[in-house]
Amino acid sequence: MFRYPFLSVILVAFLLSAATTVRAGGDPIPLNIEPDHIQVGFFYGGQKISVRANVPAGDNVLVKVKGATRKLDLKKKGKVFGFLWMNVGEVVYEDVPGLYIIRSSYKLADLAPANVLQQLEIGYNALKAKIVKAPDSEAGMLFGDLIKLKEGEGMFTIVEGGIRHAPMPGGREQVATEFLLTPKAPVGEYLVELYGFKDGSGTLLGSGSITLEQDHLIRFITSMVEHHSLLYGCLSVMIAIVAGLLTGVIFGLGKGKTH
Amino acid sequence: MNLGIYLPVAGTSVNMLILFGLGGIVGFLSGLFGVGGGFLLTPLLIIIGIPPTVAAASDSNQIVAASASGTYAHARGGTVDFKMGILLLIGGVIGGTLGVRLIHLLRSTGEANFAISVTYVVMLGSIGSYMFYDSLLGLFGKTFEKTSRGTHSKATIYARLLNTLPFKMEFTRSQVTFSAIIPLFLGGLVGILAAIMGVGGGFIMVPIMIYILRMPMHVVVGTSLFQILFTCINVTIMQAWMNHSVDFILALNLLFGSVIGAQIGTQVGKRLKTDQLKILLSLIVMVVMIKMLVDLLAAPEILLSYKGGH
Repeated sequence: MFRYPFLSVILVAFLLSAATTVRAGGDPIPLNIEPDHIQVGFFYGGQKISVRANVPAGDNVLVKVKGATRKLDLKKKGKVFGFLWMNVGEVVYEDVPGLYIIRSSYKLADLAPANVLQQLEIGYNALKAKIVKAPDSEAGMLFGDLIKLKEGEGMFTIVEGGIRHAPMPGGREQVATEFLLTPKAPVGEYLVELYGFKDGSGTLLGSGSITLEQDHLIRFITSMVEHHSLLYGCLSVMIAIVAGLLTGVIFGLGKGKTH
Repeated sequence: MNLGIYLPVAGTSVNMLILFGLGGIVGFLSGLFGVGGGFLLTPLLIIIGIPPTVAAASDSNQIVAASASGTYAHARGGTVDFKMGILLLIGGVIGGTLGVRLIHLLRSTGEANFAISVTYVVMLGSIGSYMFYDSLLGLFGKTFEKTSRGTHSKATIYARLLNTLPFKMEFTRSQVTFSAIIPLFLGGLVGILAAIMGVGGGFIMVPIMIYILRMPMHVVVGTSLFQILFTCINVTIMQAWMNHSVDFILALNLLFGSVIGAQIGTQVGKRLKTDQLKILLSLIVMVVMIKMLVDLLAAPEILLSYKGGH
């Protein structure tokens, strides 16, 4: 190793930096996610989800729920002629998670230093560092507006202090949190991760997933929309005409001839 | 009790009572004034969280039901001028096609958004304020129709034009006689504007029928609904086919309210005087115009928005 002093220095620096981020993990802690499999039917209005786990006592914990990332093309408003607010261009963000939910024991800034949170992709600053390549770019300047847009839909939420701790025997404690999976969340798989923080370092304690899928009827309709769109359009029109005329007849019968 | 319903194309869940209520309000206006109500319903759907493209397309689907219901009610009462409606419809389809091409051209030059916003404000503002002014005159006993019919007999330029154009037709239901070119041309003009603004165009067509074609108000409403029915059938099928943006479940919930609203609107309309109807419509048009003007002038809370919609 000493034959290559430069490489040795890099290796030591890397190990030191990793030590401030991830503690020795041990066996993954199982997460109790309820429900972890959700069917989207006609009366689906979002789902309240609870996450529970038994962790070593004294750890501050954080639950992160993240959806698949995708490219997002957005319209940007700006001033035209100095007084009219209109769409003046487009802003593109790469790798935006479809859902981003954080629940933590304490304030994020109190859990670990910013570089640790950034490495674990925790918090909006970490998200910005991952999504926005050039902070001075238009996308970087408008990142706060992207967060407002997503928060408005309930797709992004951060609740600091949103985790309950209950002591258990054997030097452990039960941690629990709840969050609402908004009906706007698209079908797919969502990753749930539990992190533990102590003395400024963080570790992934365990992970699980939530599966959101359409039931047969919703799947049938979306399949019609995608694969038989002309037939779907014609059927939609026919049903609308029949419904309209039927109501007209019902109202007409009640009143006799209108003139 | 869970009254939320999941909308598969919109990809969100909305309370059924809200949809029923929105459909009812717009259906009522449709039956009362002969407007489709798209200019009002689409922004309201966007406010409750429906994606703009789905809101605009599904709105057309529910207008099919409301206008079918309204047209049926008016046809029973003999207040649909089918001859006039068909000519306006043909003009509207040609104008709509030209308008789509025009907006495509404007988009390529980057001026589309400006053109759409300015057209909206100017059209809504001028139509609304003119109808309001004329209705006020009418309520005080000096109607525009009376004065304009008076000037008509004195052979104004407009009257001379009407008389010199070929293909004269008698429109019995509307009690007017003029060239078939007039409704074809005006239908085309409304079609162009409707395509630019992304709406059915009923709120432009109704004032044109009243002030330029000089049709009686009750025939105007029925004929406008007849024309809107076919325009929206075309738009719904095209939107479902090309853009996959029609949410039938959303439209179905809206139409339950709108078909009932349309019938009530039709009955209420028969009990109101023409000037009372006009002043109400002008107020609604002006409220929408003021809302759009405020949107243009006030700094938005969020500078980013999703693509789609009008």
